[in-house]
Amino acid sequence: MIDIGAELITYLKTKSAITAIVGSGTAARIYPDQIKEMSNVYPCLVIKVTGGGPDIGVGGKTGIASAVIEVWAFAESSSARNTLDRTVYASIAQGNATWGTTYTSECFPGPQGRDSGSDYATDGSDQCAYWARAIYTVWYSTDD
Amino acid sequence: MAVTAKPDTGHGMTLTLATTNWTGKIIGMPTNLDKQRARVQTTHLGSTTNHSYMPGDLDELGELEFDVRFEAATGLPATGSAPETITVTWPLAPGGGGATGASLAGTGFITGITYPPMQTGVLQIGKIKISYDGGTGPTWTAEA
Repeated sequence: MIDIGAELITYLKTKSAITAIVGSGTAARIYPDQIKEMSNVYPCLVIKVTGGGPDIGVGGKTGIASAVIEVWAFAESSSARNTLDRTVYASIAQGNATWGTTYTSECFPGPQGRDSGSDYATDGSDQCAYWARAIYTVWYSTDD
Repeated sequence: MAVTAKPDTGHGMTLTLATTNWTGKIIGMPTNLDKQRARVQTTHLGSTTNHSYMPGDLDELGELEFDVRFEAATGLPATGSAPETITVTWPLAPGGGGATGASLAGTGFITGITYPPMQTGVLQIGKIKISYDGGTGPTWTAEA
């Protein structure tokens, strides 16, 4: 079964504009579902698959599926957060790309718009985390 | 390499006009080619149970409609005079392994253009209507 969130993480790790910000290889700060509890975690990305499903015909699955994916960008400044968020958009909001080993037809923003904000600084620190959440819908090829 | 049949969205479709110098931003194609073959009734006094039919001799070709993200620097093409080759090219279906998109190609002409309605806060959307003239094609070529 295709893990489209993992495939997106694999794809983002191939983008030099992304790895220049979040690191590369096994040290890349792109996480599924939630941020790791660790120091020096920012800037980072969190990938969450929140919806979608296979395209079904009367004969069963047709070989394509959709996914709704939240991409969260975290950074220690609003400008760094914006840069990371926009870099992800430039990397994935397109047609026909291969994420990992999965062929995608198109990935586009939606069904909801982007929102952003910041978390209050925690005790003992003046540093707060700035975040942006962008939602994308992607269609991809699957035999599942 | 054999192409695997895969469903796909419409994103990535292109329109090519061989002679008319116009390349605009198409945002949708609400009406693709509609081809109808009339039926000719062959019922006679000896017919039983159902009316009987035979196919007519010729196909009726419907018009194609395109919605255009109107740009004042580009405008819309002129309505047609001499027929030209008009090609609608499909995007490559994800995971199908094709290299050349499917297409509908034939000679035709522009039958209508509609300049966009103007409203505060609303992007301008124009329309183009095209008809194949039945001279050459239109011919469907599958993805390969």
